[in-house]
Amino acid sequence: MQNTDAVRFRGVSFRYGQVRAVSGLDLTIPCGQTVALLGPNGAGKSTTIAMLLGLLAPAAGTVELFGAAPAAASTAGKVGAMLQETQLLPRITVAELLAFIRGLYPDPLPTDELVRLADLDELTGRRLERLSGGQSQRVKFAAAIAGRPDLLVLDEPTAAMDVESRHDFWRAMRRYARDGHTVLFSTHYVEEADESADRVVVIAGGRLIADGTPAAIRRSVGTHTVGIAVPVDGTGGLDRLPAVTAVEIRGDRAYLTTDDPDATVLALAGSGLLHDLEVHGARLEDAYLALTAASDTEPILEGAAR
Amino acid sequence: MIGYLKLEIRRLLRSPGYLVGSLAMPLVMYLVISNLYSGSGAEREQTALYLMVSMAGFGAVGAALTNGMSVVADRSNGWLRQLRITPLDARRVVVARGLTGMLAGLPGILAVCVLGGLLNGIHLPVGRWVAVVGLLWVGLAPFALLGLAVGYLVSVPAAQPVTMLLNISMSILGGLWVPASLFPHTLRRISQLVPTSGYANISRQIALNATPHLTDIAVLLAWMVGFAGLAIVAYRRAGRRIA
Repeated sequence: MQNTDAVRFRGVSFRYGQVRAVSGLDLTIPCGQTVALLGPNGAGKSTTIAMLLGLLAPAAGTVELFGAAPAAASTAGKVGAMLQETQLLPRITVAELLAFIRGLYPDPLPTDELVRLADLDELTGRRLERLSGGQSQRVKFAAAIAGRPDLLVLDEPTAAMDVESRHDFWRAMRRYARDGHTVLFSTHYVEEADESADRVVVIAGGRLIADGTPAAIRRSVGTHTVGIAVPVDGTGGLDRLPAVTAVEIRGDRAYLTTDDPDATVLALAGSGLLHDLEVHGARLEDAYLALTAASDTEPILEGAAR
Repeated sequence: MIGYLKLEIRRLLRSPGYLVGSLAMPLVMYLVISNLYSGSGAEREQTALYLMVSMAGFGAVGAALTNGMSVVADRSNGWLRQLRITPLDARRVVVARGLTGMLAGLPGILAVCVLGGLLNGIHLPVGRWVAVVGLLWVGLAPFALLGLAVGYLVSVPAAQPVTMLLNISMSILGGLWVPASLFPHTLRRISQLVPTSGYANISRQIALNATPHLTDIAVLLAWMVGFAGLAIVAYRRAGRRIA
């Protein structure tokens, strides 16, 4: 049986008591892809990741990593992960932790490469309990990739980071992904998915509600935004222009949401309101919000009428 | 596994509070109790010897059991889940952790034996000293494994009281505090099946230059196998739960 997929979920469900956290999830990730897993809080992201890693057994369906059970893939050293809400071991230095993890895997990354990639130069001698939030995220990332896993799983890796560290983090992640490794990450920052993922998977209420490239997901929302300088004689009438569905004033600019930017811009030009024009398509975040608002994001209660 | 053992020994050595704490109780108890028993000559030395093994064992068993509490911390801070997705399997985790627990018991054994030799005038040939200390140490395996099983199995807030309860009840029933020979008949029979009883008896026999009883060895080994199985199952279960 040929099996080159890194991840394969088939009809996977999981419930906590009466609440279904994940229901009927089918998801296949080929090797080498970088996939962002998006969804509101309680959508089932962390449960999905826990099943992917073999930390939870699905109530129904099967999860396979590289054609084998998740535990077998872990034992073979194919999986590395950065989990949410884990603290690093106290009373151990960064270098000791990394040496320990490298020792567990058959083909680990060289230490100097690891230190460079995760930017740990000044931290190797530091005890893990004495790291700042951003530093410990970097160490966790290093720990996740130390074994050079084929599949890297990151559960909200940038939650505790400032803008600059986030930027550096994704650059390091993309460099790791570029070497042919499969990466699955979850995040609340939709722009991060847009910038760093080949593919975006959106789940809500335990179900998959969108799956595609960031561009395809963006296009699924047809709206555009047209921005102009606020007209001198006020904003009245802007909402009656062709195809405009909403008007928002921010500072000295008016932003019109439109289903047909061509028609809107032509009408603006006709009324002499066209000053400092900007037109842009939906951001991934807009598409994401539209998708999750449309779906029933409440967890599905067993037996409850829907 | 060696890597994991090294990591855990480092962590152990860097928690001097725990190690010193594990010494205090048996040392104080040994000093107090051994001075309660009077007598003279050979009888006094026998009592001192009996109590030395009891108190060394009591301290060491307590430390080995309490080592399970560090596993509880690993569980609540997520390290256990992290460990589970590495190639390290349950058996090797439990063996390395068990050895660490046994090492945690070693200072208590050594301290009480040194005290016995220096203050309570116990004289043994070097070979027998080594055998007593060695057997007290090796015999810790079931207790270290039981500590782990509790640490992996019991809910986080309950783990500490459960460990305490096990420690105290096994110490009393096994005759570490009061010799089992003073127990009523039924209790004495029960006592023989408690792992602490066989554990201390083996070393006492060696200290007295006698042969250890086979039943003591068998009981201790049976508990060790049982607790090892329990610890492995508990570890597998613990990783499956979300903290």
